[in-house]
Amino acid sequence: MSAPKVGNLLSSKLDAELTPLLTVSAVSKAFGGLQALSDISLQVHAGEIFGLIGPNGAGKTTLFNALTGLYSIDRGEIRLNDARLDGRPPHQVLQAGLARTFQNIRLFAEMTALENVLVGRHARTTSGVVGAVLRLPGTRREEADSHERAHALLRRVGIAQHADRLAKNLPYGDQRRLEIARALATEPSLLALDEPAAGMNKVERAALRELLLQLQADGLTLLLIEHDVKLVMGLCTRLAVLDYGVKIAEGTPDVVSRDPKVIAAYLGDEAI
Amino acid sequence: MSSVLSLNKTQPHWLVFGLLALGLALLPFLVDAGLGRSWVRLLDLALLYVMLALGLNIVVGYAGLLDLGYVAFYALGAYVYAWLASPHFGLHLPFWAILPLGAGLAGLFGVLLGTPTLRLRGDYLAIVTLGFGEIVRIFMNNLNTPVNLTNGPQGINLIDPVRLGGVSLSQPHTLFGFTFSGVHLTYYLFLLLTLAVIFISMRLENSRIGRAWVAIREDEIAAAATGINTRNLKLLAFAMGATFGGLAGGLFASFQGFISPESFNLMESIMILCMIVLGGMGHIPGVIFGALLLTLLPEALRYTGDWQRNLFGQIYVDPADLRMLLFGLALVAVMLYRPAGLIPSARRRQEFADAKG
Amino acid sequence: MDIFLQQLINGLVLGSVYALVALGYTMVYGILELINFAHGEITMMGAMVALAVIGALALAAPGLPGVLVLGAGLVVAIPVCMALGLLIERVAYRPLRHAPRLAPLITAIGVSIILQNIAMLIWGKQYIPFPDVLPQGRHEVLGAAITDVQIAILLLTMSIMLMLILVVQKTRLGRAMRATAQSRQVASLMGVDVNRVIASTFVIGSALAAVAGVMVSAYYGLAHYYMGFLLGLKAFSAAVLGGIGNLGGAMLGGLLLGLIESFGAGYIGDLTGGFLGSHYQDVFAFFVLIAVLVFRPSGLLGARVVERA
Repeated sequence: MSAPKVGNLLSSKLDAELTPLLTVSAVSKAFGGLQALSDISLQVHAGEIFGLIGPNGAGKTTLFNALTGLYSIDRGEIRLNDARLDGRPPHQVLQAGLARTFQNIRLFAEMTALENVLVGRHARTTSGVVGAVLRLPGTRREEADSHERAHALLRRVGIAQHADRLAKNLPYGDQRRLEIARALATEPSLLALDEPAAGMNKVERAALRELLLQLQADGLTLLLIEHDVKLVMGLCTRLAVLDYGVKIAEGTPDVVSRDPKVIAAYLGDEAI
Repeated sequence: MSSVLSLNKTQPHWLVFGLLALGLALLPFLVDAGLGRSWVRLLDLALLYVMLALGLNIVVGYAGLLDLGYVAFYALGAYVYAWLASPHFGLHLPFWAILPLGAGLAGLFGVLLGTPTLRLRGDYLAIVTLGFGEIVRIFMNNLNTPVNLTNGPQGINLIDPVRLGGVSLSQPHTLFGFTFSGVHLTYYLFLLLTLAVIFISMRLENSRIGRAWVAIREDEIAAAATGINTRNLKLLAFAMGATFGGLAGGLFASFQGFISPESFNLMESIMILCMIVLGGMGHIPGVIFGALLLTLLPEALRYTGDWQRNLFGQIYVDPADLRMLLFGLALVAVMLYRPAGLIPSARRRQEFADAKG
Repeated sequence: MDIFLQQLINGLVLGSVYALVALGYTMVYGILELINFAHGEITMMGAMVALAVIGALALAAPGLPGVLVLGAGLVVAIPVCMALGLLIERVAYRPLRHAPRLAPLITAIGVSIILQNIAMLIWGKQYIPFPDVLPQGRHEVLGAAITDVQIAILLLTMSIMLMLILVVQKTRLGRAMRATAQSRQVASLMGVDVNRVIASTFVIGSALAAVAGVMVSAYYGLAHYYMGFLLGLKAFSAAVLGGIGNLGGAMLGGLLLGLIESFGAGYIGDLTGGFLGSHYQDVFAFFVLIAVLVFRPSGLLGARVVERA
C-alpha cells in the first residue's frame, strides 16, 4: 500500500523538518500458519509522536517485539537512522537507541525503583568486574553519574518519593511511570510505549499525557500503541492502523479517523 | 553475627571493626580451648563452605540460575591441586602458583559448561547442570584407565600441605612466643581468603554487574530489552561462581591431603544450595550464616548421644544415625517458618512487611 | 544370545519403571511447578514396606503362592505411600505455595533426607534381598531371554499407564487436574477445589511410585534405604527429557532413558574401542539428556513456549 500524502496534510513548517528516524520496510512475520505481520512499511520521523492502533490481535505488539529484537522477522528490513536493527539481539537494538516499555509491565520486581532505573544505565556505562571490586576512580564517577541521572529521571516521571521502594510494591500507575523512567535512562532516540495508559484512571492519564508531550518537547521521538482513542487522537502527530497484520491506513488523526476502512475495521461507531 | 550484618548497610564504626577482627583472630583459640582441636578443623572446613556458598550465591542468588552441578568446579579445583602437588604425577608446584591456576581453570570450565545451557530456563537448567556434575564425578571415578588420571574411586593421596614462604601449614609454628598449630594457621589463611571472597561479593552486589545479574533473575526478557547482554552476563556469573568453587577446591585438597570422587557427589551440591536458601538467598550475611550453620549443625548433632544418656539414662539410637534425620527435620522446619531464609535481605523483609501492611 | 534384542528387552523393562516414577514427578510439576524431590524416596518406601510384608508373610505362611504374597505386599505398600504423599504435601509443600520459589525445593530435600533416615532406622543400612517368592520362569524369544518378572513389569506398567490416561482424560477429577495445571486461579474460580486436586495428584503419583518401587526391587532382587535417590534422579531426568508436565512425555522419556542406559551399557565399550567401559552408562544417559535439552529446551514433547513479550 502506498503511503498517503502525509506531507501535504501536515503543516508546511513540519514538512521541512521531516527526517526519517525509524524506517520499517516490508516486514513480515508468521507464527506457524498465522501471518502476524504482512508487508508492514512505515516511517517514524524524528520528533513526532507516532501512534500504532488497531483492534486486539492486529499485530501491534508483535511489531513492537520485532522492532526490539525479541522476535526475528521473516522478511523485510528495520532501520533506525542508518543502522539495521533486524537480526540483532534486543540489547543491541537498545544500544542503537530504541527503548521500549511493555504492555503487561515488566519491571524487576524485587529491585527498588531506583535500582530499576540504574539497570537502565547499563547500556550506557562500561564498568566491569575489576572496576567494581577495586572501586576504580572511573567506576566511582560512573556510579555517581548513574545515580544522579536515575534520581533525576524518577523526579521527572514524578515518583521520586518511591526511590527506595520495591518496584512490585508501587501503585499500578507508578509502575508504568517507572518503566518509562527505566527506558529513558537508556538515552533512547526513539521510545516505544506499549499501551502506557492501560489501567490508568483519568487523573493518571492526564499526567501521562503531559509527560509524553514534555518528552516530545525535549526532542524525543515516541512510538505509541494505545487503545484509548481519545488519548491517541489528541497526542499523536500521525497514526498507522493495523488490522490482521496488515497496515490499512496511515496519516494524521483527522485523516485516519475518517478513513472508511479504519472505521469498518476498528473504530466502528464508538469513535466518531 | 549482628556486627557482620551491619557491615553491609552502614559504614561500620572502627571500634566495631576492631572488635570483630579481634574476635575472629582469637576464635580458633577459644574454640580449641572450649570444644577441642577437632572443632578448629571444622571451623576451617566451615570457612571453605562459606567460600563455596558465596560462589554459588552469585549464580543462584544473584543471576537466578539454578545450578545443581556446582560441586564439579569444587572438584576441578581440588583435582588440579592434587595433580600438581602430590606424588601422583610426581609434581610439587608451589601453593601460590597452583591455587590461582585451579581457580582460573574452574572459571574457564564455568564458561564452557555454561555456554550450552544459556537457552535453558529454571528447572531444565537445574537438571542439565546436575547432569554435568554427575558426568564430572563419574569421569573422576573411572579415569584410572587407560591413563591413570584420577586414580579412580581410591582418589589421590599424600597431597602437599600448604607451604607459604617456608611455613608449612601441616606443622605447628611458634611466633612471638605463641605456638600456632597447623589447623590454626590454616584457619588464618582460609579466613583471609574468605574475607576476600566476601569483599568481592559485596562489591559486585552493589555494582553495575550485580544489578544486571539481579535484573536477569527478575525478568530476563525485560533485562535484554533494557540493554543487558544476557548471554555474557550469565556466563560471567557462571565463571565467577566457578572460580570461587575452584579456589575452595584447591584449598580443600591441600587441607585434607586426600581427595576422592566421593567428596564431590550430588548431595554436596545440594547441601551448598541449602546453605544459600536456608540462610537467605542473594544476601551475603545470610549466605555466610547458612554455610556456617549447615557445616556445624550435623557435627553438633553428634552430641545427641549425650542428650539421650542424660534424658533416658541410655542411648537408644546411634547419634550418627540420628543426626541426618534431625538435619532433615531442621531443613523443613526452617523453611516452613522462615521461607525467605534465616537472615533475609532487607528487601525481602520489606516485601513481607508490605504484604502484611 | 542376541545382544540387541536382549538389551531392547532390558531397556524397555527398566524404562517402563522409570516412566512410572517419572509420571509422579511430571504430574506434580505440571500442577505446582515443583520438583517433588521426595518422590524417589516414596518409591523406596513402597519397596521397603512391600518387602517387609512379603518377608513376614513368607515366614508366617510358607505355602502361599508367590503371586498372592506379592499382591499382599502391594496392597499394603500402595496405601502407605499414598498416605505418605498426602502427608508430605500437607506439611511440607502446601504452607509454602506462595513462598519464594526455592523454599519448597529445600523442604522437599529435607523430606527426602528424613524419609531416607527413617527407612535406615527401621530397616537398617544393609541391602535387603527380595524374598524368594517370585516366579522364576525364563522364556527364549528369538535368541534373547525374558523372565516372568520382566513380563509382569511390562504388562503391569502398560495397564497402569492406560488407566492413568483414562483417569486424566475421561473423569471429573482428570478434568479438574488439567484445568488446575492450566491455571490454578481460573480453575478455582470455576469451582474446582484446587487443594483437593493437588492432594489427589500427590496421592496418585505416590501410588504409582509404590508399584514402581516394588517392581524395581523385584527386578534387581534387592532394596536399600538409599535406592530412591538415584532412581528418583533418573526418573526426574526422564520426565524432563520428555517434556516435564506432559504425561506422554514422561512415558516416552522413561522408556527412552531405559533404552539409552541399556544400549549404552551394552555397546559403549564397542563404540569407544574399549576406552570407556559399561560403568559409563550413567554418563551416557546424562549426555543424551543434555544434548536433547540443548537442542529442544522444553524436552521432546514439551510445549515449545514462545516467550511472550
